[in-house]
Amino acid sequence: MKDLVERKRIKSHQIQLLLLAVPGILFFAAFSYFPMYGILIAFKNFQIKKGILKSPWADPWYKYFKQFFENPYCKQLLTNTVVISVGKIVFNMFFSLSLAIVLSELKVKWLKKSVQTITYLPHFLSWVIVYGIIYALFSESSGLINVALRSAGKPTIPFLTSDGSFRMLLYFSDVWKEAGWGAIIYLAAIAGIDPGLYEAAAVDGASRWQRIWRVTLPSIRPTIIVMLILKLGTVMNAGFDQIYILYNSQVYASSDIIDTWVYRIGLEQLNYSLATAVGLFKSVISTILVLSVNKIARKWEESLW
Amino acid sequence: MKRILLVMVCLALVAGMVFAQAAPEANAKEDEVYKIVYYHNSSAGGQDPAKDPILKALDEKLGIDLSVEVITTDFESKLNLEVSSGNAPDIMQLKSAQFKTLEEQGVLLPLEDYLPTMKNFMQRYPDILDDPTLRYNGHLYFLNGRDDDSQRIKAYSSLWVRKDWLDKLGLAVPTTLEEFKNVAIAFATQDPDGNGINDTFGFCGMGGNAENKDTMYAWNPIFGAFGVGELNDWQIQDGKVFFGPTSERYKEALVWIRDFIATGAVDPDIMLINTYDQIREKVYRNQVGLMYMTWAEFVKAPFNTMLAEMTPDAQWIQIAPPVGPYGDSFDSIYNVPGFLQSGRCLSADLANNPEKLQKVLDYLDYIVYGEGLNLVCYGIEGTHWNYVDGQIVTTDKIGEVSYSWMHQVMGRLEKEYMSIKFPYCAAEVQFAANLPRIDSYKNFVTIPASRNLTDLNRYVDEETVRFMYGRRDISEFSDFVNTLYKTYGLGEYEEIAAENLKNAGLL
Repeated sequence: MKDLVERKRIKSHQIQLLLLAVPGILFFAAFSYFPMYGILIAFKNFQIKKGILKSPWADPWYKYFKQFFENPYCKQLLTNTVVISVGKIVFNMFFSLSLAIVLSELKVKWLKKSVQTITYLPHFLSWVIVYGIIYALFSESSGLINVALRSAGKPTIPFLTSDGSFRMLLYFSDVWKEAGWGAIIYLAAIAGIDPGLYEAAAVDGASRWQRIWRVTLPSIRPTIIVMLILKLGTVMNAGFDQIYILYNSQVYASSDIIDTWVYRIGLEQLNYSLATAVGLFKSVISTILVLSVNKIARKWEESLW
Repeated sequence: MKRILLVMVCLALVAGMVFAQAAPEANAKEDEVYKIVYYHNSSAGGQDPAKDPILKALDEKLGIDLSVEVITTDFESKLNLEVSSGNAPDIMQLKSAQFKTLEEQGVLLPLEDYLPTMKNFMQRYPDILDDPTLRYNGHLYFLNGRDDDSQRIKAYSSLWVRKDWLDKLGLAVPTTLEEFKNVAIAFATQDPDGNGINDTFGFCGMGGNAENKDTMYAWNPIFGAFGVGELNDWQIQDGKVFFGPTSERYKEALVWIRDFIATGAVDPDIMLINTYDQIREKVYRNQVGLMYMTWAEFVKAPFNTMLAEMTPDAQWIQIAPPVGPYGDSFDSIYNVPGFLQSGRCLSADLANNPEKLQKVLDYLDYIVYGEGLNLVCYGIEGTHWNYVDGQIVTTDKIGEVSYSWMHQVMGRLEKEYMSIKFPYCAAEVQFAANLPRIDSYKNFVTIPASRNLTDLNRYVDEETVRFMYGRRDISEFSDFVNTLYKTYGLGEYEEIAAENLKNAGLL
């Protein structure tokens, strides 16, 4: 009897919460779940005039998936996407984290504030502008570095046009643009650490390096892991804007990713079914990655859910 | 993104309420005024309808409500979205790659039954109905006819060289490939601008993936010296059609270009350049003395005054393409108009509304020739131009209608247009128009089912660059050709090309 009353009370409490959630649920239902019926396009020979529902089914149903996997560039696209994406995650997290730790150790307040502002400003620039800056610095004919090399009589370096250096350029332009922005969340996490821990460490004679290693990093471990899980969810998106603006025919082999390929196919040939099939494939991979990383993280008791 | 959508929905609702009040008035009229929508793809923005005297004149003259929507980005996606939601624009501009898909899906209106009723149209293009090269599955879809040679200009591009640099170094205008190479090397190494700094390059142009241009654009005259075209070139020789990049001549051109690049005379950024702005910047900085360029982006206003201000000493002249080892000399390929082209089509939905269709046809027939064509080319008679001795002479207000290109839905008479609008460029226009060009038949090659033209193009593009820069040895050229057939299905394209060309009576 007592049990029942208890359960009932919880229920009415939950109804209030559920009511509160209704607008949110409606929002996601209308704008995230309802449009997902468009996934059907991946399994149909989509015809613009007939619309999604009336278009005939693809024969066999996996026709467009097969087309993607049998594409001569499939392997290269997948490799490039994953390599560039993982590279970006590693570099970006490393530099964001380092920047956050350095900033948190800075005791001069105005310096800290101004450095933080300057480093996160590039986040708001569009890639077109960043490309302008990159071109002005790294172009082989008129870029700052190569002009200096040439006037010194040294051979010039094709930063923008060789497979070797192009990926590094992608990583570092991404770090330059996003590291400051990424540092904000770590800074917030560091600010939440109990100062008592630092004081205790200092009393015990821990050096600054030891305090970072033993106090700061373990304290923000949950944040780092959550960020990692979130980033892995986008591992199949290696950054379309950036690559589309920066790449050229000389570096296709090292920089053409799934998204740029889909864009060319979709745009030039109106092959919606293929583009949707590839998009669906990407989402499935991302979901699997997020689920499995979360499972691993749960073992360390730091999971996202 | 979702939030933007929500805001847009709200805005649309508000806008709907505001305009709902204005709507009944239009419906009250006895003769219904049809709204005719045309989608135009252009990187330059369109004119505000409120400040568009040409639009006003057309609306009044024809009793229509014309709306020319100039779309500057993502044209294809926007057009497709409208078509798939049942709002296909009445008149749409299409690229050849879109045509086949839209045709198969029944979005486009076959025109052959309607054209004979269009008087002006038939006067400008009397042969259009008898021309088998413009038919696809027996139907005519594009509104563009073929003007005769007295009005046609095949291209605006040519090689340009700095005469003052040639003179300074004591060099003659290059006529052969070898001379071309020597001039480029001299420009790159002998400090032609005399500033004592090694900052000049021999050859430049647009090599990158520009919108509406194939890559390798800059290399056109070099490939032309070997009698082949750049990428995506389909030629007919001895009654057979072949894909340019598979030919022995293409290979020889690659070898020559490879050696040319190895001299260091070529701007290392050449394959990155994909806007005219980038080339002009190099010109203004005195960094380049030999380049492939179009006069329309170089000596037409406002670029002519910029050029004179930035580099007052420079004397740029157009030159003929160099002569190659077999005596060939072509400036570029010329894509022979076929049933696949970039042009304007009508929406099939118009067939359900004959009255509106008639209005659309009347409108198009008005602007295709004579009075209406003058209106959409030069603006209002008496304001923007006058007849002087039977010739059209523009007034100083012609600048007000510099956007008139967006109204030239039925094209224009190129030669007349150029001489009236840009009389100061007459010599350059003529020079480029007279250069020899190779006929290429890309506009007859449809994409085989389950093949991706994009992949084929990318492979040709990428491997060509690798051969050019010596990153792949030229001895592997036959492997390259084999891969084209084996992996990318070039054989299927060839069969289709042969069949289409036969149907068109060209093979």
